[in-house]
Parts: sequence; structure tokens; C-alpha cells
Amino acid sequence: MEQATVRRQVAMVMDLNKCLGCHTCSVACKTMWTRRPGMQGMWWNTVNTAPGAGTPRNWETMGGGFRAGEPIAGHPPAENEFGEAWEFNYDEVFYGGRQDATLKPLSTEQPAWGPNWDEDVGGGEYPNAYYFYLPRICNHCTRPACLEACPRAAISKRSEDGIVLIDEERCRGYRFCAEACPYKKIYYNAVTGTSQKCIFCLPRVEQGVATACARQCPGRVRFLGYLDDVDGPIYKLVKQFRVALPLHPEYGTEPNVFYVPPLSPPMLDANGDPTGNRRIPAQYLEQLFGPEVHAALERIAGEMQRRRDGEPSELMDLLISRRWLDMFKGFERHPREVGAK
Amino acid sequence: MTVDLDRRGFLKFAGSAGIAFSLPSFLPGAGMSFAQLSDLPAPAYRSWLDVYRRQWTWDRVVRSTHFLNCWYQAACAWDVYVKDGVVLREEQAGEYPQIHPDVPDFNPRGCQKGACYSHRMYDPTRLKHPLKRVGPRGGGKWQRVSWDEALDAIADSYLDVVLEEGTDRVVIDEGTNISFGVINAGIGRFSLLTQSVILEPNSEIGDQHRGAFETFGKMLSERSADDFFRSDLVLVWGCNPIYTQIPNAHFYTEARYNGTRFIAISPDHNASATKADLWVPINPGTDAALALSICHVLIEEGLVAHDFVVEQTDLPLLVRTDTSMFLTPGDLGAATPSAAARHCVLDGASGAPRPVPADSLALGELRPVLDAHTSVRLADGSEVEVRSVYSLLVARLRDYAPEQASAHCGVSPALIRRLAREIAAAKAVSNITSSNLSKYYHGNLSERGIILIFCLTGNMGRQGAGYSAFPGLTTDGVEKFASVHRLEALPQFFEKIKPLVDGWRAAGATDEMIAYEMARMPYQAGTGLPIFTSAALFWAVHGGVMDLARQSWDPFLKRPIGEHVAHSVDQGWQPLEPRPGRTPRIIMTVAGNTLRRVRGSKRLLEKLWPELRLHVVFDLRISSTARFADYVLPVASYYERTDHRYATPLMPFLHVGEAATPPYGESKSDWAIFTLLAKHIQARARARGIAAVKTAHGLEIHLDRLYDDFTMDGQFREDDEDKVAKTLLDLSTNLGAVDWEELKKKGFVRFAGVGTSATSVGNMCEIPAADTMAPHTWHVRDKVPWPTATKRIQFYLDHPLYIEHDEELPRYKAPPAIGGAYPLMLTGGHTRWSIHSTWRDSAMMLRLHRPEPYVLMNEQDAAARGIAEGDLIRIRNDTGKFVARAKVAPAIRPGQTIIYHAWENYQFREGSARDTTPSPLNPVETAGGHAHLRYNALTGQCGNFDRDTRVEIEKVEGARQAV
Amino acid sequence: MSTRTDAPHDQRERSAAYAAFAQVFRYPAASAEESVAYLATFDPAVARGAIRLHESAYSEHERAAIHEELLRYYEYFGVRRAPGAELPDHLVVELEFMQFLCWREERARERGEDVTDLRRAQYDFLVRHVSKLVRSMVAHREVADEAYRQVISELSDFIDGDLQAIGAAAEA
Repeated sequence: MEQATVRRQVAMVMDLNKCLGCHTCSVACKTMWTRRPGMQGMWWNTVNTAPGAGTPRNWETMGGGFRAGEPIAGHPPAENEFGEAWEFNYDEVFYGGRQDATLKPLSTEQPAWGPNWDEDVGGGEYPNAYYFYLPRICNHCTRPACLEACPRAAISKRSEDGIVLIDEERCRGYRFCAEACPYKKIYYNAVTGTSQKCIFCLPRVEQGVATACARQCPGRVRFLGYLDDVDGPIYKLVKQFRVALPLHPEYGTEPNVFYVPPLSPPMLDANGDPTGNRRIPAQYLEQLFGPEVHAALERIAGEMQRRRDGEPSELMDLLISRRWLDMFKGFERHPREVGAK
Repeated sequence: MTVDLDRRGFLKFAGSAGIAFSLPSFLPGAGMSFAQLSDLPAPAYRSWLDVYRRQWTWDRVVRSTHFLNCWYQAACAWDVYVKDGVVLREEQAGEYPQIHPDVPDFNPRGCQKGACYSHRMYDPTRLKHPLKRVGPRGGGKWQRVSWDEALDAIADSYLDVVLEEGTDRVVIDEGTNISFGVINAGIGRFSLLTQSVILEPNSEIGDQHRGAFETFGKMLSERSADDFFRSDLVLVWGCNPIYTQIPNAHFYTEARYNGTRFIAISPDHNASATKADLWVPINPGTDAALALSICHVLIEEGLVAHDFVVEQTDLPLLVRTDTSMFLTPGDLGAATPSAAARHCVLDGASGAPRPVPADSLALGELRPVLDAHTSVRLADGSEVEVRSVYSLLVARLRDYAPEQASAHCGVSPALIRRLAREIAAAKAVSNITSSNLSKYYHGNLSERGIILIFCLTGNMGRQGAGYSAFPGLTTDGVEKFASVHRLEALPQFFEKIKPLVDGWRAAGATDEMIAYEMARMPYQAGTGLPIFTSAALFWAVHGGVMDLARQSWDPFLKRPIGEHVAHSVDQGWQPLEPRPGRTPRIIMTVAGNTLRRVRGSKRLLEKLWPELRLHVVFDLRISSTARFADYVLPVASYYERTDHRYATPLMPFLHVGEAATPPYGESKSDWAIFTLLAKHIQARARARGIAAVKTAHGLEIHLDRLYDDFTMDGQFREDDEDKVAKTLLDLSTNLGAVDWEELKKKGFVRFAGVGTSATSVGNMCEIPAADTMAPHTWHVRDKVPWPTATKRIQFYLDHPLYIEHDEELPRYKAPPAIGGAYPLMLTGGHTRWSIHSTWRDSAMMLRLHRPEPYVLMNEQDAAARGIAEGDLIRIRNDTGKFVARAKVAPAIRPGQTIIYHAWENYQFREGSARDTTPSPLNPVETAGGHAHLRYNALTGQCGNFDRDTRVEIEKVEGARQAV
Repeated sequence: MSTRTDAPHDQRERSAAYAAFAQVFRYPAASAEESVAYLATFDPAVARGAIRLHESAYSEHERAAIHEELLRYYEYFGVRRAPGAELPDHLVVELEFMQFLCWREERARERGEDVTDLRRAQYDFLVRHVSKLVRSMVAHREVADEAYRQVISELSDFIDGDLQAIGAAAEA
């Protein structure tokens, strides 16, 4: 299939050393975009504890993407793999005139999965338990598997900013896109009969306002800008310092969301004394971010040490971003100023 | 079909043309009338999608904030987007200035709870109108009543109770969702004018930081979050800021990038531990053993900051070994032992004991010997052995060699030594704090031990260096507003108390100490000020919670706790209103959720509630507490009020919220409710011919002019929230010049100083306009005495209760077997998903974690009990039991279990977490009759302890069925 | 008086009928007797199993989304929610909006304008909102008060009839 020609690409870097797992991004996105009919269970932005089954459950085993340029078969996630947006028996509990009523999901006695079900579970064995938070949105890939898979040509990649959009007028809800997306970030809306996903806050970004997930992030995790802006943080983190890496590069779609990989406290030996090894296994991080992750981690740790030694570090200054708006160079406008949606 | 629509007068068609113009729910847009509007051609409409195609925008963006008790993470400026009087969404304002180029700015702040408050405010649980109970309390049957009916009935009950039984029988149960602004103005003026008793909840919720209070004479102090950039080592000890300080947390992750090391010490590998450079796992409740062992190493290896310790702490002070009391100049026959010099050191120059100056920490020519052990001749000629506190401490710390302490705390000896060396080598060490340790029974000992580390290494009162216990930063107008009947009388009020203040000052009190003395005044009923009493003591005595405790749990307890409490209350060590035996009759719960919050709250329902003639709850919904109310009065949500809120130094800005919409339905602000209640009491009093009533303390309260007094003759009426808010700031001294209208638009202003309030002054430092804030600099840099008995940071507590319980020096005591000798410890912590119970049952939040209460367990503990992930489990001990779900995680320490905070009682299938937490009082907290070990505002009172509750857990068989 | 509620073609009468129904579902604070029956039927805070008058109580859609669409409809046709009115998805507000659309139609007809679009709007608004809400109310079984049960059923019939009439007119 023909590859989209993109003049510029907006991109995001998420710093996992700063992610708090607080889900302000998820809520910001929900409140902004996914409250309309059929979107109740949609979280275009998710945050999961890693290692873990993630959202949708076990998404990394569902296929999609490319290997050696060829599409890999996949299957679309089922609704229960995303997790249910439970409704609760508020009426009964608050107004039922029953002292013994318990607030519970209406649909099930045994709730079994949700979009953040395995929060803070992670891996390892005490005291060498380990985990970190992995926020995810649509990667707005340079080679979007969803786009290539759509028989209706309902998915496009905008040439002006590289944002990948589903045209809901054209979409017939066949869900080939959800099969093909290896990140499983496409949802199906049963009310409209269409597929839906993160739109990179297009109406905001078009007017120079950072995405809701980035601007509302209290942990200051997310940098946003054009990938080719050599003075911007994205270019520097991804290309210059090479500390921001795509998730699962082997999926072959060339994501435009990049991650600063997580450091972690040292493992403890049998006596409880710290060892020289970080507790998140390097092998696991390599599975997620590819072999470049080792060099990225060493670069970050090395620059941190420079700061401890009183030396300057442009990389650390960048990751700190003492002026918050520097994280969104080119997208610093206040949302209040741009008005309509 | 033709039907008769006229039955019960339902449908009136007469004059139907007239009806067409009556659209009470709507206004015509664009400055037209309905008639003009209908003269225009109707807009083209092809499908419902057209309404979405049209550009659409909000009408108004209003600066607001959330008036709730998120304490450590307060506060954040939000833009609230409003259309047609409906709040659509909110987004952080994100307009804080950068304070200093070295440090990050405060943007954007906020958290996921704040980001969905607009959901909560319209959710189906929101009450629209006042409710009156029908049927038995807790029966869940309600009747809608008008405000007039409700307030008249409450007013009549109120009058009956004060006439028949006294004004002190009326209790305002002040919860934690107070603002220190307009809400408190309402509560305060009501108590001022009716002499009703306000329950002060801070110690009851376990935030009393007893160890800091014992050591510093106060618990309050904190640095600004950007000041962590000035630290090179931060101890994350007893807290989980990644959960509980979401808006501040970027300063921690960013300081780490800047070269600051973070060491997390906690039993579980919690979210904050994952962000640390080193995580030190520890047995829960054994922090004192680790801390004292670190101190042992510091001393053993000669790493003590001698000059700091000698100047700022009591370690060089001499203690008589015969009486265990400090050696005083009087003992030595000093002719006129001045109030200002009551303690002695061994002077290295003269080799003789000399009094230490008490008006300043500066030692002048004095060269105290730190490790003093000698004998001195007393005035009566006898010889007595004296030892410096340091000398006693060194002896005590011999028991805390790393090899010994490791057996208690589970930290390896090598790691203990490494921690000590790392701390000693750091130039500036600080800590992140929360109120977790003070919810352990012996949390005071843990905190004293940790403070000792900071003091031995001289890490106090500098940028980036210092131990912080409890953050607080408030304006100081509301106390004034609630102290006098009319604001014009403020000068006379200050004139009246001037002799008192002069007396304190003559006795050597600093401005800070005077602030604490002033704050203690409302705890003594009869001064004519509002009346405060300790909520924990109130629930323990009047509520019967004390009956749940067993003496056998604490092996150091030589007498039943009831004896300690009775003695303390009799002596006035810990004041209690109403006095024991005077049963409370009316409770008004404001801004709180008592039956969810109070540990062992089931006991309140058994003992106290049957005695109540009236229980009124102000709330947005029928909370765990409102379920047992006689009246539920619907309050305005955060976006429907105008107020400003307390801050903390972590974020040293005052935040203002302006009402974005009118209150939903018939709900009203707390201020309006108190004002109207005063109005109805006045009206009913006049109607019943009641004028003045005498309080138990002989004061007259004038019920027939309560509203006139409350509103200052109509100056501050029920709908004058905005004016009250402005006036409180006008009365404050620590904001600089503020234009109220501009402030409302901007939403925040940086504090200019710590002010004079007891809830703020303890920081004892400047708030620089262009630099970070570091507390206690006035003590450390300027040598202003500490507000303790010795005027120094005090590790030796010369109080009989401390000596009785062997706590005169810091030590470690194993956690008591609260709830009985069960193998698992049920710890807790504040949740990521709610602020207290405010979002605990919010569908939005529940969908993002789990929909039912769960208890976290380690895999081994679960497997040993045949428990699998997601099983229903019963948690039980001698006090009670509850059912929750198991969540199994390797991050939890074996032997530890965690239930995060504030599930509502009705979220449990059986019982509630509070049913297993008897929360025994710690006897040392009943102390009084001492220069600083006595009640104080927010601290110095009895606390509550639930973190070291012992339980057993079993699988609920047939768990797939409902319990 | 009585009125035919199955297929009213007179816009003035339709508008009045919507106004009258809106009046029925407003809280009758002035009358003690009526308020008792009203609360027993519609106020979940005081009556177990009360019928909710808010569309969002029955919808699987987010309340905020329903509010948004309703406010968009109101604004599109030139009106806005008055301060102190019920939330936008309350039955009374939705009925008043229908009252308003009918009235606009009547005025447009008087001026001889094409009312197809206005009728389409009424149809959509009924289908997407009022009728959904009223059907959920009808489906609610425990309605103790006989008069209210009847008036809900009448409202439902009236709306079904109106839908049919508008639908037929639109096709014609």
C-alpha cells in the first residue's frame, strides 16, 4: 500500500521516570472526548502498571503490525478485554431505604477486569518487586497499520501534522483497523457503528494548544511538539540525546510517541543489601523498548551523576523543564483563549 | 384517544397562547425576547448532527478550586468551563509564575480527582433539597422538607436543648473538608454566639504528629516543594507522595534529575519507592528502631554536628539522676531564678554548671560540654549525680547497635551503617512527610527517632535541610472574624487580652509561643470565644470508643487507659467539653463524614446516637454519616461557592474559588446554612419569648438577636459569601496588598509571610517572593527559641507520664497487639483515588481501579490461607470484622496487609474497615500541666491509631455468591 | 377541560399540551397534598423505587454528553437554560423545549414559511431525548400514585401520537 506523505509530524515524549500513575491524563481525555454515546468504556488514553496485562488485557499477544514490512495477522480486542465501565446501584444504596445495600457494579457479582485492574501489582518477588507506569495513547504511527488495513480508506494520516484520523462518515465499523493495530488502541463504538480512537486533540493542537493529556499532566510527563523542530524538546530527546524510544519498535509501524525508559532502585541481595543491579530487569525493558534502551538508561544515569557531582547537564535540564510551557514548544496557547470546539 | 387531563387540576389549557410565552426553564438568547426570536426564520435543520456541527463554546470560564482536605497536595487553580449555568468541564489554569530560575515552576498542578469534580457534582447521589428522617435512624426513609420547615424544627430542638440541658450539649462536628475561610467563619461565629462546642478533628484523624510536637513543641513546619531542589538527599520515610502529593510530585522526580538522591523507607514497595534511588524495606511500625540505630552509628563513628546540637537542642542540658528532672538554677541556689533561665549545662570553660540563656539560642561565652556526667552540689549542700541528655542518650543508644536493631526493623546492619554515613555526608538532608507515622500507636517514638537523626547531623532550618512534620500555611483573618460580635470591637478585644499577652511575654514567650497560647484559649470554655474540644477525646469519652481498647494490648500500660483519661480531664490537662457526664444532645456534622472516619465508629451508634435528640448533617449526598441523621441539609459543591482555602508551604499560594454557577437545586453554602439557622433560632426564640440564656460557664448568649449578631446587623447575610471571603482577607496580615476582584480572576496569590495564626506561624521563616521557602530558619539562623519547655529542640521529656512509660528519652517499642494477637498487620494509607471519602464511590474513579473495597496481601500470605486474587475475604480480630476482596501483589511485605483509605461503610458487603480498628488511646497523649506537653491547636491532643491493627484473614467460602 | 392527545395538528394546541405536561412534572411546592404524591412518585431521595425525571438516569450515555447535546439543541434554536432551572436533561426542561419548538413552528406557519426543518428537529428531539426518557418512565413498574401513573401513560401516548403525526407529515 501507498505510504502517506507527511510534511511535518507532531510527536510526544512520555518520561516514565516522572509518570505517577495518577490517570489525570485518562480523566482529562475522557472528559474532553469520550463522553458521547457509545464511548462509556473508551479510554483513548490509558495508564497501566508494567509488567502487567495492560489495556486491553494481554494486548501484546493480539498481533497486528508488520514484520519485515509484511502485515502480521491480529485480532481485535473484545469489549471485556478492555474492561467494563461499571454502572453502580446508586439508587438502591442511596435511596433504597435499605440499610444493608452494598454499592456494587450492576452487571456482575465478580468483577474481573478493568482498564487499570492490576495497578501496582507488577512483577518480581518481595523484596525485589518491581513495576512502573506505562501511559499509552494512539501512536500516530509513521506507517499506520490501521490505515493500510482499512478497506474503506476511512483512515488518513494528515500531511500537515501526521495525525492519524478515522473518518466516521466513511467508517463502517468492520474493525480491520483494530485487528491491524499492534498497540490495540482502537475502540469500537456500538452506537455509531464506527471505530474510534485518540485524535491527538486535533482541535486543540490545530490552534496551538497542547493536548489535554499533556497539558493536564501534573507529573509533567509529556513533551509535545514537531519531531523536526531541532530546537524543540522532542527532537532533542529522540534524535539528539536518543533517550526517548518507541514502544515495541519491532511492531514495525514507527510510532510517534516515544518513552524515556524508567530507572529503578537497586535489587537487594539475600541479606537485604543493595546490589549493583536495577530491579526492573534490563531484559524486560529491552522487550518493550528494543536494544537501544540500555544505552538510553546509562545516558540518563550518567547525566544524573553529573548533576550530583555539580556538573551541568543539558539533558537533565531538558527533562526537568523548569519552565513548564517549554515542554510544549509551539503549543503553548491557553485553552481558554481558543474558544470553540 | 381523549382523556380527561383535568383530574387533580393537572392540565390547564385555558389561554393557551399565554402559556406559549411561559418558558420558565429557558431564557431567549442573544438579548432578544421570545417573541422577537420567534419572528426570525427558524434555522436550517437536516439532522441531529447539525447541532454538533455548529461551533460551540462555553459562556464563562471561572477560576475555582476544590475546598477539600487534600492537605499535603493543596491547592490548585482550575478553570471551570460553564455553559447555561451547567459546568461542562474543568482544566488546570496553569499560570503560576516561576519563582527562581534554579527551580521548576508550580505548573500545572491538579490531579485526576479534581479533573472530574464536574462529574461528581452532578452525579445521581447529589441531594437537591433538605431531607427529614421518617422511621428509625438509619432506616433510610426520608421526607422532603422545605428549608423553613427544616430550620424551624432544628431551631426549636436547639432551643429545647439549651433551655433544658445547657448550651454545651450542642456540638458542631467539624469535619476535615473545611477551608479555613468562609466555612470556618460560619462555624466559628455560630459557636461564638451560641457557645456550642466545635470538635477539632486534626488529632482525631491521626495527623497530630506527636513526635514532632514532643520534640519541637509544635508539629507545624514544611518547606516549599521547589526547595527540595536545594537538598542533596531526601528521605521519603513514612509516606507515599506519589499517591498523596500528585501536584507536588514533579518536584521530586525533577529534583532527582537535578542530582538529589531519594531514599524511600517503607514496608511495601509502594509507588514512591519505585521512584527512589534506594528503597529500604522495613517491618511496619519499627521505624524508631531503624532511626535510633542510625543515630547509634552517627555517634559511634563521630559524625555528630557538635555545634548545632549544642546550640539548638537539649542534648547538653543536665538532668538530675535522682529525680529524672532537669537540673535548674534553683537547685543550685541561684538567688532569683528568672523565668528565662531554667536549665543548666556543664560549662567547659569553668567546669561548673551554668544556666543557659532562654531568650535566645545564642550561647555567648558559654561552652557547654555535650557529653557531661558529673556530680554537682545543690543549694542544700547535697551532692547529686547529673548527666547531660546526650550522655543519657548515648547510654540508651547502646541498645541500638545495627545488629540488634536489625532484629526489630528487618534492615540489614550493613545497610543501616550505609544510611547513617550517607546522611552524615550529605550537605542538605530533608524529608517528605505525611501523617502516616502518627497513625501508629508508637508513631511518636518513630518520629522522635527520625528527628534525632536530623538534629545529630545538623540538618535543620536551612534551604534544602530540615525535618518537616506537618505542613500548614493559613491566613489569619478568620480567628478575628469569629472572635467578636462586631468587627468594630476588634481593637477592644485586643486591648482586653493585652495584659494576658504582656504576661506571657514577660515570662519569656516568643511571638510564636504567644500564638499558641492564644490558640489554646478556645479550648477553655467560658472565655467568650468559640469553644473547641478535641474530637478524639470527645468520641473516646462521650462516644464510648475508649471502651473498645484492651489494656493487655500494650505491655507498658500499668493502668487502664480510662484512668489516664479521667485524670487528664480532671486536671484540665486535656480539656473536654461538654464535661464527662454531660451527655451531648445535638450534633451538627459539617464538612465531614464522621461515621466513615472515626475509628471504631460503630460504637458511636451504639452509645452516643441513642442519646442524641438531634443529628443534622450538611452534605452533598447521603454519606455513611448522613444515613443516621435526622435532617440532611444539602450543601453547595466546590464550584458553587466563593471562598478561599488554607494552603501549605509546599505550595505557598492562597487559592480563591468563585462560584461558577448557583448551587444545584435548593442546596446552599455552609455559610448560608449557619446564617439561616441563626435567623430561625432568633425568630423561634422571639416567638417563644426566649431572650438570653446562661451557659454553664456563666456567660449570657442572646438567642433573640442571634441573627443580628451573627450577621453583624445585616452586614454579612446568608448570600454574602463573597463579602465574607473578602473581609477575611482584609483582616489577614500575611498576603500583602490584595485586590479582591483581581484575585478572583487570577485565582491565587503567593503568601507574603507566615502570619500570626497557630496553624501557620510554626514554619518560622520568611516566604521570599523570589526564592524557595525553608522552615525553622528563625530558630536556626536567628536563634529564636523553640516553643518547648527547654526553649530548645527537646529530646528529654520531663513529664511524669513519659517517665512512667519509659519514654523520657527516645526509644523503640514494638507495635502493640491492637485488636488481639493476630498474625497480620492491617496497615493503611491514603489512596490515590479519593480525597478522604469525597470520590470513594465515584463511578469514574472506581472504573479506573477496582469497584469494591480490597485488601492488598503478599502472595505468600494469600497462598498460606488458600486465598486467590479477587477472592472475597473476611478480615477479623477481637474488635470486629469486615469483608473485602483480596488483591495479591509481590510489592506487599509478607505479614503486612493494606487497606487504602476511606471506603464508605456502604461499600463493604459486610461490616466496614472501621469495625476492626479500636484505636486505643496512647496514655502519653493525655499529658498536660507542662510547658509544652499539653493541648495545642491541631496537636498536643489525643490521636487515633489504626495502622498497627492486628488481624487474621480468611477466605469467604462460596465466595462467588453475595455475602 | 379535555383535549385530544393522539394526533394534534394545531400547533397552538400542541404547544399548549407540552406546556401543560411540563407543568404536571414540576414540583408542586404550593400544595401539600400534591407535593406528597409528587415526591412519593418522583423523588428517589424520599421514595424507594421512585421514577427518575432525568434522562441521564436511564441512559447508558454519560450524563455530561447528554447535557452537551441538549444544550446544543437549545442553543441551536436560540434559547438557553435559565438560572435555577432544572438540569438540561430533566423532563420538564425537555417538554418546555418541545413547547417552544411547536410555538416557533406555529409562528413560522403564520408567516407562510416552510416548516419541514422545524418538524424534523422536533422529530429528532423527541426520538433522541423526550421519547427515550418517557419510555423509560413508563417501563418503571412501581408507580404507587394512580394519577401520576395515568398521566405518564398519557404523556407517552401523546408523544407516540405526536411522533407519528410528525413522521407522517415529514413523509407526506
